[in-house]
Amino acid sequence: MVSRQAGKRPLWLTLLGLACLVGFGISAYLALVVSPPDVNQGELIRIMYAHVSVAWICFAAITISAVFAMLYLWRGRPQDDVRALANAEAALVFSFLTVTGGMIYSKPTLNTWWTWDAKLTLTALMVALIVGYFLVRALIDDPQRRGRVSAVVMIVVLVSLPFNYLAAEWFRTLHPAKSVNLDGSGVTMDPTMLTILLINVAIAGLIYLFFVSERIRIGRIAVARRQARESVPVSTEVVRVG
Amino acid sequence: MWANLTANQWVAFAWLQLVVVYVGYLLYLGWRARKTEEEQG
Repeated sequence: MVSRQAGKRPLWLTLLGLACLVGFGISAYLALVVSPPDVNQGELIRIMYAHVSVAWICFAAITISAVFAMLYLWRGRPQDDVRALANAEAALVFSFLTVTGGMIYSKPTLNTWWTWDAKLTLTALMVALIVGYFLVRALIDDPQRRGRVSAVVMIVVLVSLPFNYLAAEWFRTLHPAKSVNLDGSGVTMDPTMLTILLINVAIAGLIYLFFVSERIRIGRIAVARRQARESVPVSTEVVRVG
Repeated sequence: MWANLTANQWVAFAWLQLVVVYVGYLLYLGWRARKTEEEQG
């Protein structure tokens, strides 16, 4: 049996939720009030803080989900599948926000919602693959086979990430070049804007952590219940059916 | 319609969709937790 205590949300998770609420207020205040307008984009630069932060967290969620997917393939522990699933759900939320936020950013600055260039097509493919992850899970009943097949799908999503990240440099695209480069070539952004962006990323990361922790908590209860059900002796089942 | 939006309205739109999606996922998590606890009995 799964105890009632196991289903209760721990205090630290409730406090994390409250920290997310406060943090989101701070990040919105910094982006919408404190940040100076951009010399080219004017007030529209305030959309960048919402768009870039969720995009970075989306990439992180996919990577972490794929790591747990690999661990599940290696060790076969249900907890790893639960963690991969929780991160995949967060990846879906943040990838959706990345796309919709990007479209809202693109319309007033580039005068189009969408174009099928390499960067955006790879992003659409990434979202489609994440949706595919959940379709696979919905279509397979056996928990172990479901975990294995969906793990492979998430690893495919991870493989697509470097191409997505570098597409803005490799191909002609409407997507602006990166202002913060991870290859050590530097940062081409106003220091105040960079600080506010990094705070927004940190708060989005905190929200991601809350989402994933809460989803793992729920997933663990479901796994424990399934294991308890599977451990019921066959004879008991026969008596109950009869 | 979209051509008439000011820069500030675009900014508000972008941040609003962020809030809506966050709250939407929170509501989903709440529903999921309730459903799991009900099945637990």
